[in-house]
Amino acid sequence: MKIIHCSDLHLDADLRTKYDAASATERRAELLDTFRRLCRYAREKAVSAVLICGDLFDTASPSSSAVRTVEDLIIANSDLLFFYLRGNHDERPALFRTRRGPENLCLFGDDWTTWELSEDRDQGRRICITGREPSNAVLTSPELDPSCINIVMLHGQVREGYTAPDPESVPLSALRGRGIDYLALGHLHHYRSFALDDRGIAAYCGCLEGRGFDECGRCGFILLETGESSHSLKTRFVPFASRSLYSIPCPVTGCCSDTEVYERISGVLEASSASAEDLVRLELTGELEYSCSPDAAFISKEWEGRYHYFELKDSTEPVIHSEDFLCDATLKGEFVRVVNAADGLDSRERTRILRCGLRALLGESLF
Amino acid sequence: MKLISCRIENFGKLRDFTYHFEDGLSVLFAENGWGKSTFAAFLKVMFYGFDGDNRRSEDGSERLRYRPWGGGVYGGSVIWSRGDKTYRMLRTFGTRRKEDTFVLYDEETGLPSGDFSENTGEELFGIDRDSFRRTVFWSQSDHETSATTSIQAKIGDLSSQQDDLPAYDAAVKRLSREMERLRPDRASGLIRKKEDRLAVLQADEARLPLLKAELEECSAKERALSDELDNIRAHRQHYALSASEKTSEDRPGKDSETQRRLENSEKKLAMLLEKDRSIQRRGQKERQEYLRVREALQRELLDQSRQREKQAFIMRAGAGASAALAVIFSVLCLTGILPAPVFVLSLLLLAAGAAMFWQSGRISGDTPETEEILHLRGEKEWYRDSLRELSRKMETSRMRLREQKAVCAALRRRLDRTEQVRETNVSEAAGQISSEVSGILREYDRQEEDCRVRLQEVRSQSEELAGMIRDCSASASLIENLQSEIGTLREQYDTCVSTLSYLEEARNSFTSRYMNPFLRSFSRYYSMLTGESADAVRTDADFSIAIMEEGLPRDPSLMSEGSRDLISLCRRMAMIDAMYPEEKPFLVLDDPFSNLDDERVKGGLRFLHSASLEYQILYLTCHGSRF
Repeated sequence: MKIIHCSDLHLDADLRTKYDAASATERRAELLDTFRRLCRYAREKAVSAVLICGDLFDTASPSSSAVRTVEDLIIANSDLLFFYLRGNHDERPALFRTRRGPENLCLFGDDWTTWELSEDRDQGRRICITGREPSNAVLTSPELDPSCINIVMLHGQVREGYTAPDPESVPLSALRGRGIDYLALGHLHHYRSFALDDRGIAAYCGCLEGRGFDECGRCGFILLETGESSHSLKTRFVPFASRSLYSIPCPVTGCCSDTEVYERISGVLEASSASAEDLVRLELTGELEYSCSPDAAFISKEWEGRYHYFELKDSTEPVIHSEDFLCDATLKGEFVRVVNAADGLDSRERTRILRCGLRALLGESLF
Repeated sequence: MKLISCRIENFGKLRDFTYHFEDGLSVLFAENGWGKSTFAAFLKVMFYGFDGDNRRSEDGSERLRYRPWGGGVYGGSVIWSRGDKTYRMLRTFGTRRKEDTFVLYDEETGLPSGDFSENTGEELFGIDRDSFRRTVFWSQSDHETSATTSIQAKIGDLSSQQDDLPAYDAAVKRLSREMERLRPDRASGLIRKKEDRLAVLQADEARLPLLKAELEECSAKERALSDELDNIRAHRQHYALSASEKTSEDRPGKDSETQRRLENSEKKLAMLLEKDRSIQRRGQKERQEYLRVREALQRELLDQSRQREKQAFIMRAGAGASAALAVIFSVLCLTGILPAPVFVLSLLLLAAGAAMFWQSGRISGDTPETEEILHLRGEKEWYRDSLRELSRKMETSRMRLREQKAVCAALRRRLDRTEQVRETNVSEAAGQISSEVSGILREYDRQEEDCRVRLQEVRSQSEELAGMIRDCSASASLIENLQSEIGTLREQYDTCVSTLSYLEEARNSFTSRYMNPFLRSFSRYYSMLTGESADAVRTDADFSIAIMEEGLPRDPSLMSEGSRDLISLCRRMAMIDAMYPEEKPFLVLDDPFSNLDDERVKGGLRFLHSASLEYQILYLTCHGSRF
């Protein structure tokens, strides 16, 4: 039997902090389409169940069109069982057309709820899906039948030991030694897998599609397959996102002109594995001479056409060699000497003022 | 630079006029209205062109003002020398600048020269028109002498190096523009605009809890209505099924559908039963654990209490014995049986007894609980919370079981009924449909429609609220970015302010290096004109002048016109000295002493004769006493 573990789809996210209105709408549609592709994949690969470990929607009040689309997809895939944990973003039950939602959608309450998936007829074993919505109540240990393959779904950040009740925390102490074979987790947006105890493993599948540059790297889901021995579960991470996000550092220390910076950027981008479908943030790092200030608008214009989304982040530190101005008889030299002699400026402030003044005298843009 | 001669074809009221300049002082004495100022203006226009060429009135446009009164060619020529070369410069003026002509000849060869362009003035003097008016050219109407950047650059002899001071002006303009663009204290400033936007977003964010509460209320209504609608539909379906089954052929699809739903429901019921049992088992287990922990805690508390009492008893006994001994010793001392020093011992015994008594009180009082007790207490609390929660779960589970059982029973009934209907003869069934059933069905339809309309209304309201929440949430997500953006802009604004201040300081420091030669010249001319020392004169990097009176600087603009003219002339000459250390320019002075008293006029004339040893001067005056 095959089971998909996914989470943090954040459907219907606003995305306006990154995109303009039209592009945000397009990207929202892409996120929904990834869920559609996931259902198709599940059908084609004869998957029995899809575990959604929280944050299916980005907000507590998703648009009705997004809810309808998801509901229609679930109904259309009636052979699949969807186990849906709400998570901390979609805090209340989505407004499906009927209160209980589609028949093949299994929900969880604030208490532990166990669904027996079905018998694995080949092996004669039972698979139980147990879950609990994040709540302010203390996370008690689930009561599981050790003879079953126990999959537990939770949403939150794992913590060692017993912790104060916190809807976003998952205390591992309450879960160890309870007969869990697989702890399916949601909340963190990167794939991570670790041993829970002698019997089970735990894993965050990460988000299905990245939205921000804190979600770089491979995004997708985990495919679980029951093994031959009584409790063995084979897990495999399946990259599935339609677009990847790349945050690419570009060291520019030593560049003496804008042209050299552009060449450096070109080299770094061409060496990266980002493709035209991807979202790219290029971060200029290192130190740059004050006279060298690559035009962010120009660079963005040059590269934004080559990727689905491109942004430039300038994290360079300006460098001003004050000793070069010691004997400079011009106003620039006088300015550097005056600023260096000024009291009450920290080094960052001093450098900023020097750069701004020297660039103003050079007739360049101030920042 | 020297003027040799000039010829005016037509310029204002002057026509067909030729003038030969002396090497030193040339004096043109003529009555008012002769055209002296027009002559001076002619020389300025020949080198710098007209002022106010873009203006249309005679007041504003020199071109219109000096248009020949009697017609004829508008313009003339000037012969002048620079170094060892002499030039003849011819200009004619049309009604617009593009109709003007300019030709420069080398006077010796008679051939056209390309040494200077139409901008002869700037190229020859190294300063712009405005600076020319403030230094070399003294007109009657304009005595302004403040230093322009061009003058400062010329004084610093920097124009040929880096154009630093013009760059300073440009830098200051750029910084000022940027500050103006960013200004946090003006509604038009970018920072203020962003802050206003932030305030709007924050207001949106503050509305979120209220909107969410409203939506929650709406959702509750929606759930209730949705359940009501489900119930109505289920009942109606039951009746509809009866009616339809009796009037039509068997519909196997419906049977299998109901059968499938029943199977699913029964599975769910089984799962819920299993879960219920699991909760019960867990409840029993945790109750046992709770009792065990509670008992252990009681035992531990009892042990601790006994131990405390034992210790307290020993202490109290010790205290009693000490007190008794102290009394005995005291009595024996008082009766003289024991020596007096033993009385001190008895007092010590009494004190020791009191201390032991106090300690026994402490032991029997509140003492901190042991780690074991604390641990057991924590464990007991945990199990109690867990049991409470389990009890709540049990209730929920029982409720769900009841619901699920009801669903299963309803489906079973429906299935039975369908089976019955299937077996019944169609015609017979049709006859059995009573008008009462039809009425009930219509009533269900009406109820369903009513409920559907209400549900639709609540859903619209929910949708509207959800939209508002999405917008407000979007606002909230923009706040962090906007705050960061405002932080950056504020930092940029502060940097501009500081940079401007340091640039100004650097400029002042830079130009002050040229102050000493300027001051020396000023003092020389001041003494020449007034016969007094210039010790009381102060100047700054802008070459502004202040006269110290009673320890305070006095602005020359507050002085009499005569004093102002005097200071202006000295300042002008000091700047010219500093600007032209090598080849001196010619000077045009259009009646500069008209506001001076007789005594000062004498000083002025002394100045003219002395200065003309160094400079070529054209001095224009209308009064015999001033030459």
